[in-house]
Amino acid sequence: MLSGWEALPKSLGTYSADIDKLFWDVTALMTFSWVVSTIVMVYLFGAFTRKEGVKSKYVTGEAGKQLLLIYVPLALFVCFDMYIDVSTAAVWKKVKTHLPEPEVKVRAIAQQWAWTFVHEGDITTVNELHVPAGKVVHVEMESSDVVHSFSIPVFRLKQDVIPGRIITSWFQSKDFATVKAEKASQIARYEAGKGQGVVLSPSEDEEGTAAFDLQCTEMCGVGHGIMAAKIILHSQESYDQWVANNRAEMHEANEDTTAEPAATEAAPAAEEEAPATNGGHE
Amino acid sequence: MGFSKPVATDRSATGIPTGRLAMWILLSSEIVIFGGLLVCYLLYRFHNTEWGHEAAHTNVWAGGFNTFVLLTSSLFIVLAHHAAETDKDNEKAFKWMWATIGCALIFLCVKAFEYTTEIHHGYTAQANPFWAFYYTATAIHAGHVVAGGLAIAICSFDVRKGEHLNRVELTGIYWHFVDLVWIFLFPLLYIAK
Amino acid sequence: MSDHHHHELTFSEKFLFPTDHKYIGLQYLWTSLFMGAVGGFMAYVFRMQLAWPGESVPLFGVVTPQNYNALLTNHATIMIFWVAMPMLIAAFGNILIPLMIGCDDMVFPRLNRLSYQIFFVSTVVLFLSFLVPGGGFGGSWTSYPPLSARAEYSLTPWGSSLWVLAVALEIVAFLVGGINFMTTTMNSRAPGMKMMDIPMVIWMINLAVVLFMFSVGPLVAGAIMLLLDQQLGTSFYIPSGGGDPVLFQHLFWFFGHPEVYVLLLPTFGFMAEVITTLARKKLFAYKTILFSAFMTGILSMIVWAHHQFIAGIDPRMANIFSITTILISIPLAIIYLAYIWTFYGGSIKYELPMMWASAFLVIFLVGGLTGLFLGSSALDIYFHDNTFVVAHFHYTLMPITFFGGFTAITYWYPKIFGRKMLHGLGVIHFWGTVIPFNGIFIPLFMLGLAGQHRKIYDYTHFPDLMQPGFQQLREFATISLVVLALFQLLFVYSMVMSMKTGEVAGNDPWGGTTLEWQCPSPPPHGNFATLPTVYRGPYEYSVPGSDKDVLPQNMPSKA
Repeated sequence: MLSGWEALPKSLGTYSADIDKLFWDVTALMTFSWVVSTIVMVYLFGAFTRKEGVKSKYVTGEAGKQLLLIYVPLALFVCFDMYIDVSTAAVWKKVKTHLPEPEVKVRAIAQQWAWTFVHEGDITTVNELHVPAGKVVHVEMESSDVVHSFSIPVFRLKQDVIPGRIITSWFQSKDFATVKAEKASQIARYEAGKGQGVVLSPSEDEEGTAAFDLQCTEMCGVGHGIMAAKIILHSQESYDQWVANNRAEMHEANEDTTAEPAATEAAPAAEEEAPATNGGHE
Repeated sequence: MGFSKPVATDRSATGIPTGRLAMWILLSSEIVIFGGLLVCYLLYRFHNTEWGHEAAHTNVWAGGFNTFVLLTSSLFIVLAHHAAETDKDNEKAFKWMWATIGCALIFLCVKAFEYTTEIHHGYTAQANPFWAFYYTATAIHAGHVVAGGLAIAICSFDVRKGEHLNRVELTGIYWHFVDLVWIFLFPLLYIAK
Repeated sequence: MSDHHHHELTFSEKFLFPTDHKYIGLQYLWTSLFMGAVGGFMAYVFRMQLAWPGESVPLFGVVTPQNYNALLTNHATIMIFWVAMPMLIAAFGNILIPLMIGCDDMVFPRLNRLSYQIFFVSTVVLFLSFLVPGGGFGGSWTSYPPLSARAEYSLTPWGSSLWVLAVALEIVAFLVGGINFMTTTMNSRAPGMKMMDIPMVIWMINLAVVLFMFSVGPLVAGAIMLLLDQQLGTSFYIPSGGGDPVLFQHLFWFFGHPEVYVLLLPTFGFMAEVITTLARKKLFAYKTILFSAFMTGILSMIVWAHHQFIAGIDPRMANIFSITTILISIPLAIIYLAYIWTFYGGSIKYELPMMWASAFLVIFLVGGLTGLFLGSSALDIYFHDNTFVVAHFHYTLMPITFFGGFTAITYWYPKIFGRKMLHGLGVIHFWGTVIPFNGIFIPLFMLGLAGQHRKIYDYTHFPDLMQPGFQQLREFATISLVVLALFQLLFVYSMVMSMKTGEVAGNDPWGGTTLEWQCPSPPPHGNFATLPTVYRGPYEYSVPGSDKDVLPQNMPSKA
């Protein structure tokens, strides 16, 4: 069951590796802290059990040298703290306070209980975000009702979406070949694990795409638990094709393509492209 | 079987009588509650300068008059305290306590008049968040005026009999707090336009 | 010394409308234990849904999405407000404060009775919220608007308001109770008990009360505004009406973060008492611990927005809160180290309270250290609203409430009921709690790392979260919870049986120095036949030059 266990999801963004590195650094420091403390505690628990005729020591902990017992380990821990603070500041700056120039812009409109994405050329989909791999994408997020939250685990990105505001986040995936290879290894893992209890196949991908989970990560009501969406990463060719197809269809159908949030049924454009998904997609 | 006062009640390791200590602790939590509400109001107000237009419609004369009434009532409760503990004149203390309550009633009548007029003009709590704050803050304050008035009334009868004289001071401290909150509300809601 | 009449209490004065602090404390304790069962049952139901989605849960039925949200919301709300607070603070604060400072009751016994009555009403109101049309509130214990502010979003028109009202009443009950705690501790100490002679648990409980008082005010204001949005259609938090949803978040977390230290400090207090008595050793660095507890309280008031790093606050604010959050680990580390060094050179007896205290120190540390992952704003981008957070706060809050609660109960049970708790049964209960607890939450750390987000009714909608092994982890966690729950039955049994068959305790079964061990078990109404005078600090064990191992606080020094 646990063979091939990967602690973290695939790391597919330009800053996901930075977050992962920070995570492992903190894990090392905290594991060290816990293990050493526990060893000391367990030793003390065992070494000083009550023995007949042996009195305990009288130690106030107020005398200068005794306080070193606190302040020396503390100093080491403070060094850990400072390392965490400094590394954090650098990573936070890269992800959240620095907004690189966009190559692709998308609007994301959250509602109870679906995501509507408006891509370039006003191509509107429901619960599917289509982007080309390797490009800087700006997502301008808004909510039409309550607080939602936009989360893409493979990028380690998360941003709350607040009604009454438009908040912009960004991401940039790795190149398509890498993304597709990682998706293939994920599929292989699923194949290997089939027959071990409940396992869903990952979303089947159309030619030239790789899809991953996109989550709402803020309690938004009764439908929060099934507000599932996908991010679909395209190779450049397949993305251009997708845009062209949808533009053509919109033109043909002569539909109103102003960027209104769609109702929870899939918009016509999405119908064509939506890969068949398994599992309880409503 | 009756309830008998424990020894604990009359001890005073700090030197402050327990009643007074308890009252200050109560007021500390009240200050944080009102303070929280007012900080929210201030944050909103700085962010929404257009609220000044709404605030122009509060009745500064009514508010000013009420400020005078409350300040006077604080004076009356101080006089009651003086009468009870210094002059040892329980009847006079009783009268000053009821003078305080009288002021409270005047305050509440003026407030009722203001509310009626404002609602009549369409300045409801739903109309604009300024009005929502106005009604919320003043209504919670008015609730404290009622509670304080009731407490003073109940204590006044014991005081007239010469019992629990320290409660004049305790209700007085509470009353000064109620007055103080108003001293903050008045400029924030009435004067700042 | 005492010239008022201590009579034998009637049934009504003990169990229905007590003014005696010990009986009021017991009312809080029984209520909190009952509510613990209710909150635990809710967790059982929603975890069963997660492990076997869509299947009928024994003792409940099929779980709808609406049920699921209401269960998780009320599980959290109940555990914090109706289990942890009443058990750790109200029950033990009431029972211990007058006894340990050497007086006969709280300064205002009738106000004390009123505080429980308000608390009782709050419990009734909470239960009512489950029974009304639309059902119980399901917007998380954090109740963020606009979801919580409008019935059109929450779909629980009555439940939302009754829930807010219940919490507000609970808060009022604790503010009222807190007045008694602080006034009594400050004023009614035994003659000779100076500030530094006060036992650490009494300091800790009072610090918790002060911290609570100063942090909850803005939330009371915020809750009133939320109620008005819900019932009167105001728009304090509704953007279309000119309001701001993020304001509520600030008001909530300004309280919510200090609240976890409000819960932690009393348990730290229990640790101090148990470790010193059962290791028969003076507390290491009393003043340093006290100072660190103060610092924890103060720092806890400037970290709140670490719950909101990605909530749409100005990203530059995040750095400040990240730094303060990491800083708070410092006073906590100091307290920890002081407790650890108290064991050094001790004479430890592994009675039940000491077992629980040791388990707390080892396991709470996991929770504390995993907090640093979340205090880092950059890591929090990934972990916010992730199951990793759930594991973190259960590794802190369950040791605080469960292990801390069991530490206190097993330690002071003999004082309250006159007999020690059954040891063998207690040991089985101990292991049956500690081991399954890890079985529940280690899987949640693993699933969280893998990207699993929180408060989700059915993970089968998320292919990336249905990888091989994931559903087994969810099942394992759920089974561990069932095992944990079953072992708690042993505790219930022991609570009852020990009263009849436990070893008779006498005044001082553990060899304690503090004043509660210098009166009968159970203490009569009025506690002490003669109110004590204090001659020394607490924890004077193996004092050099003394022929006695244990020097109680009220034993006169030799002439």
